[in-house]
Amino acid sequence: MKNPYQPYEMKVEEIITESPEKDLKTFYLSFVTDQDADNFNYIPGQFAEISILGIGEAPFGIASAPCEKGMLSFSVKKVGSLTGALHELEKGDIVGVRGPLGNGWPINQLKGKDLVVIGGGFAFTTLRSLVKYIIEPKNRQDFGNVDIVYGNRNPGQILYKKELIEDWMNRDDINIYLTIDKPSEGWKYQVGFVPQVTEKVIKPSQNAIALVCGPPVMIKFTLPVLKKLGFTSDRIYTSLEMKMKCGIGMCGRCNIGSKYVCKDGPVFSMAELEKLPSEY
Amino acid sequence: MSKYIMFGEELLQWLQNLAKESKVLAPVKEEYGYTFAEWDKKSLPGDDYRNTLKPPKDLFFPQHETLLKYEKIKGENPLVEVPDIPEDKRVIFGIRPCDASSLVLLDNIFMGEDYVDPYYEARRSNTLIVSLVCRTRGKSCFCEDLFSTKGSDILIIKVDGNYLVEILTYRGEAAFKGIGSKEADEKIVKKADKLKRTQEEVLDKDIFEKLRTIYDNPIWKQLQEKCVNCGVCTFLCPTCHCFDITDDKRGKKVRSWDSCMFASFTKQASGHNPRPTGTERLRQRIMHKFYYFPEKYHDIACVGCGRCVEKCPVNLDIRQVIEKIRGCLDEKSLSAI
Repeated sequence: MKNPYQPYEMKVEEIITESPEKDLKTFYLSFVTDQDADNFNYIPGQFAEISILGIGEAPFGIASAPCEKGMLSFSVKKVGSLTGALHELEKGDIVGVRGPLGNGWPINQLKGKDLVVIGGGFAFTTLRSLVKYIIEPKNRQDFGNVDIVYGNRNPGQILYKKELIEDWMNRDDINIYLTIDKPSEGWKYQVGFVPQVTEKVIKPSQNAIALVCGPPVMIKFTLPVLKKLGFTSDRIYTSLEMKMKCGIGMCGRCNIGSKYVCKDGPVFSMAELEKLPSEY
Repeated sequence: MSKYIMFGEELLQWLQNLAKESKVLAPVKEEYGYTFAEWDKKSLPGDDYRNTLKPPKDLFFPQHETLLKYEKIKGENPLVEVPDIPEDKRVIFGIRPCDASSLVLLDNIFMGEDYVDPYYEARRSNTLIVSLVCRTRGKSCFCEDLFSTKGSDILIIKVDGNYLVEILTYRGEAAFKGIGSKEADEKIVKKADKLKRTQEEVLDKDIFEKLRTIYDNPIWKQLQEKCVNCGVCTFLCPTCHCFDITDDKRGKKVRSWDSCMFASFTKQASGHNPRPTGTERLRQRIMHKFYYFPEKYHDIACVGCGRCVEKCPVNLDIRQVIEKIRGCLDEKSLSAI
């Protein structure tokens, strides 16, 4: 068994600045050895600990999909010391990546079902991984209809703009509804908060599954809308964030009740969360 | 498994033999009390030995430990390597049964089904646990069973000035092979059994069912009122296993004990803290030991060693906390606290 504290070495191949404020960057990393690339087997919704020697380590959802072989991508907002150091990286720099960690989206439960993917802001990362996985030609037939609602404060904040607008918007195997909080010049898509847009564009369903990621306030107001549309708690999934260190259920800080977000999560159904203390 | 009887001299000789091929650690008296250190190869712990100051987790999960070493080389990829994990055989002699049982609890964490901590595992698999039963409980002790065999390879009970040696595992048996000691006779075994049967009753630590119902109870706020969040209870607890991982900037990634009693423990980079005050933190500590841990591993994460009772600077006694929780539901007992 591999030492769970030992990271893979990965090289920064590309850095995309996602927002005009420049506080959001997506890093495209490649494995230094082919063997590492083969060993790193993940599913959408899992995360990894990225480390910079001398600075530290922090957990990030994996934004790439397993079909994107040999590389991983992560979108990182600059908030603390490690994310600050990540934002200083240049092409060719080496970082450590430890993972894959966590449970990931419940792919098997999603098979055969219509899916409603709801994201807000920069929490769209592992949802992007999931959608990318689903639209992979060999996987697409395993899933029903896919509706995506992705909201942001303004057009500048949208992650993966090029892919979303040039590819996803033009596909006929998914429906994507991009929305911004307030009208903006030249914006030709939805306007309004995620809960309102969800209520407008998503059809009521007795068996579809919703996957929701976003700021707490967005989740708070989206849940009642989903309930109204017929989604029961066991058909709504979300991915939680917590301060983490080890990522393997040992260091003790990311628990909610007896569940460790790092190991038992980060993906939980609302039915599971309803049974846990609201300490997150 | 077998039981033997030994005189003090024989026990010394046996340990001296073990010390030829293993590092024997034993309680050694230092300025402030006993601590596990390399055995002097001649003495046994004195009658004043109650327990060590620090719990034995330190010997398996040290307070500071280098997980990785790294070297940044200009123009090249950095070197990251795992330091040598010690492989020498060790014997821990004189550990108390309460502490020995704490190791079994920690095994759940560090040697789980999904992940194994290689540093902890190496030390666990190289160490023979020879525990020494206490004659009486100390004033802060509340272990359930003075004679608990959990976590021990060999359990030693002092009976009438001699030592009754109970072999509990194959590893223990192997360490006893070829020793010409006498098998314990029925009389002495019976005497030990009587000691086991006639222990005084201690506090019942099972508050699982009560905890299920009181997550939002005001008792947590009352209980934490005098707590200063110093964290000494968690550092001295043999079953507390929380840690932090930091880069020391000099080429080491270090793991250090951390504590759920500290605000920084759960504070996120955004500033959000799911456990913002002492109330949530004390609740976490108690819920973890008596509810979350039992829910996951079917065992209470408190062995009753009493270190937290003894060293708490504000006399927040976990035994009273347990009692208060047990009696807390009705309004009357709430106002009496």
